[in-house]
Amino acid sequence: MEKLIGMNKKKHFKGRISRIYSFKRRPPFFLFSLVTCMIFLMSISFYSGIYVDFKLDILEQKFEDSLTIQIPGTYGKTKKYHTNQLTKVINLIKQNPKIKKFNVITDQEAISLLEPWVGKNSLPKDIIIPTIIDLRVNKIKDFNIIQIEKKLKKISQNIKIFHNVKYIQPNLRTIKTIKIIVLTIVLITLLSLVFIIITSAKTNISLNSNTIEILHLIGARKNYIAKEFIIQNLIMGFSTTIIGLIIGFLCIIFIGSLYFENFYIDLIKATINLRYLTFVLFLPIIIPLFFCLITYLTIVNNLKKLP
Amino acid sequence: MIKLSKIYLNYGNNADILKNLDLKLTSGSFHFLTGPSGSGKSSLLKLLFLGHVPTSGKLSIFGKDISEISKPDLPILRRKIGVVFQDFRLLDHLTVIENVALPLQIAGARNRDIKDHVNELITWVGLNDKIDAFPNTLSDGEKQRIAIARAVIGRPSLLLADEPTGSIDSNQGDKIMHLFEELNKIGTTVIIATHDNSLVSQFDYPKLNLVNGKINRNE
Ligand SMILES: Nc1ncnc2c1ncn2[C@@H]1O[C@H](COP(=O)(O)OP(=O)(O)OP(=O)(O)O)[C@@H](O)[C@H]1O
Ligand SMILES: [Mg+2]
Repeated sequence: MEKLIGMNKKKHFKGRISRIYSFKRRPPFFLFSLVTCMIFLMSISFYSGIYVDFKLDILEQKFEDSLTIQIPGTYGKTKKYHTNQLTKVINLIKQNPKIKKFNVITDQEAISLLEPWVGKNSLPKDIIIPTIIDLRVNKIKDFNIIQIEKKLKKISQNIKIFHNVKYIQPNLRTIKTIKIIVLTIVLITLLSLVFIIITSAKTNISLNSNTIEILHLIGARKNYIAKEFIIQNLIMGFSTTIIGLIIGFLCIIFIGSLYFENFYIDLIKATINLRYLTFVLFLPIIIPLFFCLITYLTIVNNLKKLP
Repeated sequence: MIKLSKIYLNYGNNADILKNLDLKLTSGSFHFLTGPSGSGKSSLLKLLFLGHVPTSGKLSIFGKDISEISKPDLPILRRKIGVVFQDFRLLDHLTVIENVALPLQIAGARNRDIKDHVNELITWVGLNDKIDAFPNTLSDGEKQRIAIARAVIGRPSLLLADEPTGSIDSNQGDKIMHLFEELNKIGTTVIIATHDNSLVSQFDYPKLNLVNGKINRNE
C-alpha cells in the first residue's frame, strides 16, 4: 500500500518525463472532424443501403414464395356447390405440408372491392363471388406447382393457380437497378473515405514536418520517428470511426423513424447479417491501421528527402 | 576530425554561399566562426551537422567521408554531434525537461537513468523552476538555454553552436561559455558561430572568419 502511494507521488513529481511522447501531440481538430464527417457520411449511406436492400429482399421474397388460387363461380350452379368446391380446395391445401400459410379472401372483402363499380347493397344475396386464396410456401423451388394444379383441376377445370412473382416481374429490374445505385453510392463514399484518410494522414505529417526534421537531426531512426505518430494515429482512427458510425446510426434512425414504421427494428434486423456485421465491426480496426500505414509511408518518404 | 576540401554550397539558382572552401580542424579544438550576417556561418554549420549536402566537394567528419557512410549508420553519427540551432528548434509539444532528455531517449537510455542527469543540467542553465513548462511559454533567452542544454546533454564529440549567446544576457553568456569550455576539456570539439565581437575578444580561442564563401584563419 505504501509502495502504491509512493509511486503515485512520483508520478506527479515535478519534471516528469513521459514514456511515450506521441500521446502528447494532439492531431489538429480540423483533420479529426474531417475524417469523422466522412465516416459519418459513409455510415449513413451504408445504413440506408442495407435498409433498402433488406426491404427489397423482403418484397422479392414475398412475391417469390407466394401463390394465388382462383375459384370462379360456375354458370348455373348454386352457392352451395361453390362452397363445396372451396372446402375441397382448403382440404387439399391443409394436406400439403409445404404450404406454410394460406388466406382466403372472404366474400365481404370481395364485395367491398366491387362496391365502387356496382354500388352499395346492390348485389343480390345469392350471387356467387369468385374466391381468391393466397398461399405462402417455405421455398418455391421445393414446391411442385404442376402436381397441385392437377389435383385442383380434378375438383374443377376452372380453378386456376399461379405464381405471384409474375405480378412483379416488370418491377424486378427496377429493384435490381435501385440495389445497384445504392451499392454504387456506398462504394463512392467508401472511396472518398479512403481518399480523405490518405489526405488527412499526409496533411498531419506535413504539419509536423518540423518535428520530423528535428528528430532526424538529433539522430532518431526512422522507426523512432514513426512511433511518435503511430499511437496518435491509432487513437485518431479509432475514435473518428466509432464517433462517425454512432452518429450515423443515430441520425439514420431519427430520419428513418419519421417516414417508416418499425424502422429501428428493421434496421437492426438488417444489420444483423454476417456480411454487414463483419464490415461494421472491422471498420474500427481497419481504419486506424490504414491511417498508420499511410502515415508510416509518408514519414519514410519525407525522410528520404532529408540528407 | 573535421576536414572540408573544395566545398561548394549553392541553395539553388542563386550565387554560391560557400566557394571552394577548405578547412581542417583537429579533435578537441575550440573555434569561433565569425563573419558578417548572411556570410554563410549557419550554412557551414548545417553542412557539419549533416543537415544539408554540399553541392560539391569532400566533407569528412570523425575521419569518415560522409558520402561513403551508409544511411542506417548516419543516425549514430548524428548522435555524436550536439547542435544549438540559431532558431532553437525545440519541440513545442514537449516540456522543457522532455526536450532536454530527447537526445538521450533517442539514443535508447531509460527515463530513470537520465532523469537526475537532465535535472542537474536544467538547474545549471537556471531553468529548474520552468521544468514542466512548454517552449512557447518561454522567453527567447530561456529557449536558447534549453537548446544549449539539449545540445550538450549527450556529451557530444562535436558541438556546433550557432549564436548561442544571441538572446541571453552577458552574465548567463559567461556561464554558458564556461559550460562549453568544460565540455572542451573532456574532449569535445567546439565551434561557436557568432558576430558578437565582445564575446570573441573575451576569449583567446582561434577564429575562423568566413568572408566571400571562404575561411580566413587568424589564429
Ligand atoms: N534554405 C535556404 N535556401 C536558400 N537560401 C538560403 C537558405 N539558407 C540560407 N540561405 C542564404 O544563404 C546565405 C547565408 O545564410 P546563413 O544563414 O548561412 O548566414 P549567416 O552567416 O548564418 O547569417 P546570420 O549571421 O545572420 O545568422 C543568405 O544569403 C541566405 O539568404
Ligand atoms: Mg546564422
